[in-house]
Amino acid sequence: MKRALAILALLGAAALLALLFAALCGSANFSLTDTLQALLGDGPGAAIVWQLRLPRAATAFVTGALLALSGALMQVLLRNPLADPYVLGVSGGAAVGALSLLLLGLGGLWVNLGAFAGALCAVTLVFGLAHGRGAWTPLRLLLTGVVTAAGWGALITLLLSLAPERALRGMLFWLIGDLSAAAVSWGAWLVLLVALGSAWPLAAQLNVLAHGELAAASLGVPVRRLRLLLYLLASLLAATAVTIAGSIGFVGLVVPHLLRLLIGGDHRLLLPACTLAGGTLLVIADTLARSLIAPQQLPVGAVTALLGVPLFLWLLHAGERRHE
Amino acid sequence: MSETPLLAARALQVTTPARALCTGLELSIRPGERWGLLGRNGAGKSTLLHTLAGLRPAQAGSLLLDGIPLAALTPRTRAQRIGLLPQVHEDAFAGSVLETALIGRHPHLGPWGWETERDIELARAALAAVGLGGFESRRIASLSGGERRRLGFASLLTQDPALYLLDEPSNHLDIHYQHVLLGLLKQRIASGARAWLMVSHDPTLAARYCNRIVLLHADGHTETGGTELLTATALSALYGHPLHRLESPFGPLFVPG
Repeated sequence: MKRALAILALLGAAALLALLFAALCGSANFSLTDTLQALLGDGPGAAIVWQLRLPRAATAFVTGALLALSGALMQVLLRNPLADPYVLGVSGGAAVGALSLLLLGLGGLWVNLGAFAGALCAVTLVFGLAHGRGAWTPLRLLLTGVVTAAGWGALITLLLSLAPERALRGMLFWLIGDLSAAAVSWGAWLVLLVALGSAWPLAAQLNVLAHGELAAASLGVPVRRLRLLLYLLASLLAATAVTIAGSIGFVGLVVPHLLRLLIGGDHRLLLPACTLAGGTLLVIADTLARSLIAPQQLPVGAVTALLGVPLFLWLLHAGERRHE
Repeated sequence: MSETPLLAARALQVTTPARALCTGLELSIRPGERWGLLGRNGAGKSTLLHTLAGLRPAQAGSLLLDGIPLAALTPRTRAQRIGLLPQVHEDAFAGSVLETALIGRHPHLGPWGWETERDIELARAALAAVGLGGFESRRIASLSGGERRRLGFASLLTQDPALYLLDEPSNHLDIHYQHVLLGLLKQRIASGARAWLMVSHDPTLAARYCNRIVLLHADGHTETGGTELLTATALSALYGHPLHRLESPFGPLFVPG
């Protein structure tokens, strides 16, 4: 438990450093002292730091935290280390919702609402289909989700091919994942805190569930109820993240894996650690995305994927070697 | 033998959508008893075992744990009294050996589930008892089949239930560990208010380690009794294969004809 607190303190410090990094970098050049002064509320940069950079960093943080926590829960639920927040088609549903509204020429809040409605629609659809009359096995849930996701993918292709030139750019940016248009979202923080608050006390049950449903049930875990709750929480987290920022890849897959390798698979530590590390990673990725070739901004989804792909391949390779 | 049975089945009926696995089963598992459950492949031994563990509902009849209907207990209370060694271990992620031995403490911990020093001591002692001392920090993915099976026994020992339900406990174990582990559990049962019921495919092993027998026939009827049920005729009929019983100083041996 001491070790757990030390690791969480370390990750918390890393998160603060990432936020400082986000406040420091941008198209207007500030020195470290300028930035610290601005953070205290005076100096020429105060407005830029407090009204532009920090709100965006906070949104990046909450998005990354939502995704990493959702990924960690989804991996236990599906008993599959390759599961990520989007594997059951949440992002596909959200994309169809958002792109349809973009195609109709609507923007701003409408697109967010469309995305959220689409995500909930995907969640309900998979839940209903996988539940069916038969048993709700992880494999059945996973297959239903993957097949529905393929269906959403087809609809997205269809929407893109029907879209006029002028709408395409916005639609593509939405699909890649982008934080530049994201507004401060208290709702997302609320979802994050409620989900973490509900899942964390169940972490010991998740540890047991990782050893199989039969083993978990025989050790007194109410497996059906736990799985239902996991499904709802992981889906709500993913739907919220995709509503804020589009489908940003790899955070939800890589962060839980990286932490499993580094600090072990104990969910009592893993869940809060994922929340902190996922947020930190996305703050760093977003800061790089908007400052690498400033004033031009790169979509954060591309930066996380570029960081995520080699990292994941390395993890997979290192993991294989350990098993030999 | 008048005290309340640990687990009692009354007119128990277990069915799957396809067929009735057993009907009208009467069973009283009392402290000190070591039950062996024998039957053909697909006769429903595991399903019956899971029903007795309270993990799936029975279609008719009742199950009483310490005289109380099993279905009325919370999963946690039930898990403090009944432990299950599953037929296969399904690990989704590669945790450490010590963490896996510790999951047996789950029904005994508070809601947040942080283990105390005592829980960790129990887990270490269980690991040493199954010959996995010094393996604590190994990843479970790197264990051999037999080592993983012994770890399953260690989790069960840390759970320390009153009734041990064992699904083919000798799976993956070499001859040495089959006898070490069953001997260890037999000692536990002899020393306290405990009992086991094990599913087995080896009548010789059952004759040696069990003192009560259930034969689950393919048509759903059951025979319960002492080890005198283990005759060549009864087992030949049970398996649909001729079996011979040979006497030895270590108990009867059953050899296929």
